[in-house]
Amino acid sequence: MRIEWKDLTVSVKGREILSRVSGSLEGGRLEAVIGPNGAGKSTLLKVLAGHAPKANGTVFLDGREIRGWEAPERACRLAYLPQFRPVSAALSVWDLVSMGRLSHLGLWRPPGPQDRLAVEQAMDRLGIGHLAGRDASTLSGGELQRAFLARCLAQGSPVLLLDEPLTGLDIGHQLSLLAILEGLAREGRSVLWSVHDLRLAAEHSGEAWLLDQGKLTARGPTAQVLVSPEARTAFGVAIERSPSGDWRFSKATPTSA
Amino acid sequence: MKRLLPLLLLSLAVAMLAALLTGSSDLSLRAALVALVRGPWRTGVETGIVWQVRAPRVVVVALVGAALSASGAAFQALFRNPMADPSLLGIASGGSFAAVFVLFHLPWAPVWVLPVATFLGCFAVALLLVALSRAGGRPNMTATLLTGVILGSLFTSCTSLALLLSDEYQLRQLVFWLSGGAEARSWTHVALAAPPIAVGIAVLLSVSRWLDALSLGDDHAQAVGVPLDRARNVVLVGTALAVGGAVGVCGPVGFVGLVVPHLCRPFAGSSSRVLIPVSAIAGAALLLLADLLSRAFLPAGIQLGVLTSLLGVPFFLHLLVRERRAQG
Repeated sequence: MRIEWKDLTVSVKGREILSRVSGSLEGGRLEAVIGPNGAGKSTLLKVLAGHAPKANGTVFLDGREIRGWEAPERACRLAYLPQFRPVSAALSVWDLVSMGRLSHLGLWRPPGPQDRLAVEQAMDRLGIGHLAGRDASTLSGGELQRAFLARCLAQGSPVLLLDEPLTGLDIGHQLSLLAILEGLAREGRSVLWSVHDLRLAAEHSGEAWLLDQGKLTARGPTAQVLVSPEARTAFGVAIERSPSGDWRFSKATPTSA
Repeated sequence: MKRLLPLLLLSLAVAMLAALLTGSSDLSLRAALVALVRGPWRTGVETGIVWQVRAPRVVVVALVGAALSASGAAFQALFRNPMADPSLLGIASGGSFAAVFVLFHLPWAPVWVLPVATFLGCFAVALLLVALSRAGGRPNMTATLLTGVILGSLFTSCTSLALLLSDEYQLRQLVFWLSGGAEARSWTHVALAAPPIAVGIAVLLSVSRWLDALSLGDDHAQAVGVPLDRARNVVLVGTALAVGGAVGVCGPVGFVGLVVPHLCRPFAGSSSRVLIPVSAIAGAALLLLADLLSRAFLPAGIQLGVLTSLLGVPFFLHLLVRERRAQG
């Protein structure tokens, strides 16, 4: 499924957080949004998910304006993982992951076998099957993170927008999550994820979008984006790749450019 | 849930029975039981006392307990705020003001006007609360609580004004009504309160999946396909119906909606699908118990609302301290 956006602009109190960002994502692609803190990564994902009513510009999901979809219809097509993941309520992990089925079930229909299967598979994929009966408020940060990711998977949507899905995970779980994301793209889904770990982005995301102060300054194969002058400006870091393929990051000396 | 439900229903039945068998008139336990078993269609003093005096009171108290507890559970999910309670947040004050307005200005109005007015009063305050607590950014626990408390005191002041302007006879009536109680309730009161309360609880229960998603925050709720504005409005209507029905027949009875869901959560969990019905049944039983206590130990004329506030305030403070500790 295709998601396409044009001239997205978001201003808060006169400051442009996102300015005239355009692009599109096809099915079967795994692409990363990178950029320094405050570059607008989360805002971009939020707008693409249709959660920012005051954004200017257009987002088309499956050929229809994002705000034109009814909430459940949209959720069946697009799963969004917000960055802020609170748990105030004492829900069980099973209930939390099952929320991904809400848009399929509506308010009253009891979950059927395929709903239970989707929830079970999502939990198994993220390795939290054994936590099903646990109270979500007792989970560790990383376990909770995986429970929310399982919620996104259980939703079964062809488009996934994941805001910093790696945060809070140890390296082992980061790598297995990346394998899952790559698997999702192979299944034909479109995955857009924001990430701070540039090494992991370079190794696992074919393409990258670089945001700097709300503007899209570079896009293309991740390795090329990272060594571009735009990336150097954005992060204030010199990024090099050694012939052996290792990445080196060093604090850039300010350039007059 | 399956194990909990029979136990809850049993305790509700016991509470109802106890309330039916005790009262101020010196009717022996045995005589009351006989009258109860014989049914309402007999004649006689005992039958009258049990079926026309005590039974409606019992049903009213149970309905009010259920309404306030269920809407408290729903509010806590909607506002993601363990302290949210329709009474504490001024909703009930709006209903009370509407009721006082009707009692004061429209004494000739037919009886059904009162529950309609209390519903409208509750709903108006609920809308105001949501609008104000969201104005200027993300609503947080403190902002919502403060807004609700301020709205509550605004409407309480309006009610006080109405009291100041009333003559002595009206004053007695209004004060009695305002202290929240179930004295001298008849089947008419039951008929007035039952429909809005039943519909209100049913509405809240029907959107329990939305409430569960909302309890994780607007972003998550929207991400899984909850239509935010519609969901919020449905919850407000359901709450206003239930609380309006309760206020219309019993006056403001505070803190029930705060205390009962908290007592139920350790057993029932936080999922609204379970918590709302469990709170409703437990709330009915607990308010009956409170009513029994107030009749047994407090001087006559002390109203139910006074007792629930006396018990509820320390509970509220305890929760406040616990929440602050949890937030570090």
